[in-house]
Amino acid sequence: MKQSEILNTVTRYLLIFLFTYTGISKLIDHDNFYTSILLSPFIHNHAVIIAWLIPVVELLIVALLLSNKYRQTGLVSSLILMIVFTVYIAYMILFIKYLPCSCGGVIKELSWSNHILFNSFFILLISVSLLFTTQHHLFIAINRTSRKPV
Amino acid sequence: MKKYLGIFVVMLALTASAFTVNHKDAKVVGNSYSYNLYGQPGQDNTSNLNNPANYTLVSPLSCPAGAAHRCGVINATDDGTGHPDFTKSYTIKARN
Repeated sequence: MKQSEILNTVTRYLLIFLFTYTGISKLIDHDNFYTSILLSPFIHNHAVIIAWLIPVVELLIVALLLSNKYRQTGLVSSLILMIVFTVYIAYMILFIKYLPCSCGGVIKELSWSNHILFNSFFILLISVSLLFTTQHHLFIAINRTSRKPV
Repeated sequence: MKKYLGIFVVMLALTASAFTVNHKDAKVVGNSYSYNLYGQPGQDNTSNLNNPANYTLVSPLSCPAGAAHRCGVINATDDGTGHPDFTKSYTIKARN
């Protein structure tokens, strides 16, 4: 179980760093982030809301990950958010002829394709971390009900 | 110690983002391009805004006074044909 704890810890702190960085960057450079959303073909009508919602959600996830009680909720929320981002990027690459700048705050040197790889890495990391956590909880639950010493 | 590690990681991310923003506000590097459709019908159309062919290399970029519409981009990389490469970072200029 110790390896899974290390993985969970590393995943958690990587996500805390990533979402703090992206959330704060988007808030500091709000005008550019808002402009880049305006250029997106299917979400530009809600640009005002989305431009504030995304960084706030990211920082909220950071708060969940920092908390011991809601750590699991933070991981699941991170996974959902990363999947949403990845689907959006994939859609843009596949269906949009002229791509707007992907410089919405973080890692703006990454191309759209590299961004998918970057997001996929985190999706995999979070998924494995959640899987280990679930197995650990099942292990404890099974042994608790069996009344056998572990 | 472990209790404060989360706070340390947050501070590290805040510092990193601060350096990123400073970098963006540095003096203009790269090319400036004027948006050809400024002031014309369809100027705010997404496909027009994202089409590099609608931009002309200029030096420096001088945006005329007017409404809050895009008039050009700066800090852009050329795509080899005299138009901006929108797959790399750039800064939008709009005029109020």
